[in-house]
Amino acid sequence: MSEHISNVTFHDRVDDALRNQILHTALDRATGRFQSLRANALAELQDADVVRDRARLIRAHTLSKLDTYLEQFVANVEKAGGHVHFARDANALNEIVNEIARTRNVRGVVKGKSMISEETHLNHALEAEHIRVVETDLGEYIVQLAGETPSHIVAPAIHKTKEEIGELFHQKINIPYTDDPALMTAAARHVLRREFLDADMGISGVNFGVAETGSICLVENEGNGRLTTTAPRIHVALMGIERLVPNLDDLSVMLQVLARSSTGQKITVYTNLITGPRQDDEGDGPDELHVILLDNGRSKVLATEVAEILYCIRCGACLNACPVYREIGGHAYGSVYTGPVGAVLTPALEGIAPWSDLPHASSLCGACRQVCPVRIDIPRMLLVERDWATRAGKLQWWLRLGLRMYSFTVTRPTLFKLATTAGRWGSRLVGASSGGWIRSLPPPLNGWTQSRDFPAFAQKSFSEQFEASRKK
Amino acid sequence: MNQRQTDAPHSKARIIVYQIQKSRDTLFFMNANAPRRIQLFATCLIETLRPQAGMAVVNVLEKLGVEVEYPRGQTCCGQPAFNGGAWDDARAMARYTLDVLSKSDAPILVPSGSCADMIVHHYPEILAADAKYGPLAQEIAARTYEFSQFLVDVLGVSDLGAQLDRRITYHPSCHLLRGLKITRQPAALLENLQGGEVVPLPHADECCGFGGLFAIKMADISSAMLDRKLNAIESTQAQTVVGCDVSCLLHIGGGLHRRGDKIETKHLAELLVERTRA
Amino acid sequence: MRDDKTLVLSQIRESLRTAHLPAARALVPPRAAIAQGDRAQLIENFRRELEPLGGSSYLARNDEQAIAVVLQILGQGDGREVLTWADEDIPVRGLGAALSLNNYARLDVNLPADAEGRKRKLAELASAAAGITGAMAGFADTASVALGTSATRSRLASLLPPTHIAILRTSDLFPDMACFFAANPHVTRDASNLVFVTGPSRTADIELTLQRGVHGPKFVHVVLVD
Repeated sequence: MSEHISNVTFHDRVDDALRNQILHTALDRATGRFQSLRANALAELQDADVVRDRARLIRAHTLSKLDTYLEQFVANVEKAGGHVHFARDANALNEIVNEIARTRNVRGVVKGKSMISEETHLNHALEAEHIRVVETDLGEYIVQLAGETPSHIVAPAIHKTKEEIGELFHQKINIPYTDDPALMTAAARHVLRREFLDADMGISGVNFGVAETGSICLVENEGNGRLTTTAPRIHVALMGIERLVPNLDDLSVMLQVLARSSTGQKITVYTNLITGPRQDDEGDGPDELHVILLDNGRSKVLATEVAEILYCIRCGACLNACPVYREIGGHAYGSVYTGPVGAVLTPALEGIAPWSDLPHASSLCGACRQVCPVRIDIPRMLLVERDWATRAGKLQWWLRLGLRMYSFTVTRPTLFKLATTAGRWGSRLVGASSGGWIRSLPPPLNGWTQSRDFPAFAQKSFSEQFEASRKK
Repeated sequence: MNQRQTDAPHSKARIIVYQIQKSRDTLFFMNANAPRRIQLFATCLIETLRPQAGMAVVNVLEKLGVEVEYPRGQTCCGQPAFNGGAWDDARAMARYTLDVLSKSDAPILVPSGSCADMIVHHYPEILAADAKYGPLAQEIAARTYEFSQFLVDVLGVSDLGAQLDRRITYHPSCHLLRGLKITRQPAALLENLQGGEVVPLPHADECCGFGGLFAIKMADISSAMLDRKLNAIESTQAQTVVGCDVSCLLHIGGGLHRRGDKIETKHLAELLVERTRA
Repeated sequence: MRDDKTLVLSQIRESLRTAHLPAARALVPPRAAIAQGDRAQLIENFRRELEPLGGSSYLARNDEQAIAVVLQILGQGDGREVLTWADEDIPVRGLGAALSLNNYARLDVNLPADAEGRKRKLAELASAAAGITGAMAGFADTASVALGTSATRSRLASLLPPTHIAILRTSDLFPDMACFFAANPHVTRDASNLVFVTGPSRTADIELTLQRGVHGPKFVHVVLVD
């Protein structure tokens, strides 16, 4: 499970993020570019809305028969010569990987991008067994060298500027300082190529499992995914139990929206369809394929009001569109999955109590819902989880009390009138008349007046003005 | 989400039989079958903080020969509690408001995108399990309209003969834009303003950072978002920011005032009654 | 304690009894038939799409032209070692002979079964200058080539060297991936690894600045043989 550092609150992390000018520059450049790439890519797609509707339907349908499709998938992976393991939680998954590594004398592991491995903190678990783990996606590699965690589902190092990365490479892989992305990329290729050739095990994520064929589909641009699943003698693929599609035709629909929503490409450079390990007569490829299906709370989320979040295909479009994400970046969320989808998914998987701030970290502007390729109604689910937070006693006492009093007042018109009058007097007391502004409000409302004035109460309410106009 | 209700008025609007309506000294083309009576749900913010926006709405409607009912006892739609996660309180306010609005059979006009969205989409949702109020919420939702939507889609009016004497810019509030999907209606009304200039707002569809209690609970993030919006507004050199949500306008207005900007904020209705061309 | 598979599947079944999954239907309706484009159009689309991705395409009217193109591309580099698919998997007759005639050595890509031998072999192969493969199909709308493995079609030829030359018959062009799957429903049964390659390897992980040739080939050439 995610590390929840109890003495650092969500608000502390937000404070740090908002003050970090470098972070701001990096986020501005990146999210803005992502958004325009996505918009162009979808504009080029004929019937984009029809394809999105279909993609949503496929996800909904698959989940409604998830048990059936899982069994079909498992049978077909095994028929192709692969091994399938189920992991109920993060520890179980890590233990399975460690067990495979132990019994097969694995010393070095190369990894492709996998959010599942972030979710289970697999690297720590492997390193505890003295196994060397190297991230091979360039962004993940940068993040690993820096001793950090990814801040974006698709672009893990989105929070770093090229100058920071140049300094990091200089210190960690001993190359002369440069801020030229071309030189840094070449250096990473050189260093990582040796790791690929020397690794015993490759660990990858999975974008989709195809139930009808037992294939796993892995999309990527760099080729590190191909190398991870080709060079080492053992390939371990990690996937969430929800990430299935029924057949290849459905897969082609999902692929039509995934890259477009994610990076604005029509399709990624490499779309890998892996069906079992290398066959007996094949010259290369892994000798063994292990597919590990992680539950870790997903099967229970299926029964909740936010089950729809399991439709997510991890494209990252909601992060790029989110005005909150753009201000604070991924790390401030404190969770493995960040941005709007993370704010819904994290409390759903791990419980609302430790994560009650996340559903509140949204102005409910709906930009995420608008860009989601499978049309997940993220704002609605944030609202549902806010209700969970309240029920778990996690709404601040003053808000709880305030809203209760407010509700009591507005359902009693006389009291409401009285409160309006009180507000009017209050405004006058602080010297603000109709149309005027109040410069500072007392706690807990002072958050408002830290950056903006508050409008004074009208000296004549609308209902009074309306009644008066009737008498004329 | 109940998509049907959002779409209904649009589809109805496709077949409009126009008639010429003479009101005071102006002629309007209007839908001959449009209702001539509405109930105004003014919203708590207009009641307490921005009554002139409400009066402007009344003026526009009466000018078009639409009788305005003001259901007594109306207060707040309950959105603050709903967004705050206090759903039991929100349900109490929803039931209360439904009682207030169900006394008349006239269509309901709400001069706020987010309050209209609350009634149209969220009432049916939070009261779905309520045997009495669930169906009532559906019924009320089906006859609830946002201000610009009512003018353009129901009345069939997009030109009120209003005149503009300055540079304005339009901020499409989020729940209007993405909740109710209302875009062309305010656009049509703005297009028909004569004189002045309507300048496009850069990154118009980005949230101003209001979000109700979000502005207080997450004040730092909200302030950062507001900063971007204010910068965008300043870049247009507009004298007035127009919108269909008093909430966002007060938020933006408070920010502009804090910055010492002279730019004013106005509800679309206020602009429409300001000046009539000869 | 129940094993994890039983536990997870039974929890899913229990959840599904009450699950609310918006838009879920019993069936996903079949897609409308997709029109097949005409050959010339497919070729044009394929080439137009590949260019902005940084890949190169060539249209060869016959085998001799194709071989000339391949030799010309190889001639641009210094290396003499290449990784290739078997002759029968490359749709150009005489390529093998032409390669030996021009002193190119085709490395054997069979990885030995023992772990250390495998690593040594991989290190050897890593120095190859180019990889030459056929392609079972091309997708015109994205400029992708479909490469499926077999005993004689290796993964590494299109992966390890900095240059990848794919030779594709124009009769194997499809409008898009969906058409390809429709025509080859059992394609994943025949190839344990099927990859659709769309242009050169790339990354944008440093400030979203596009870089080509990260881990896979930096240069991708598709020779279309008509």
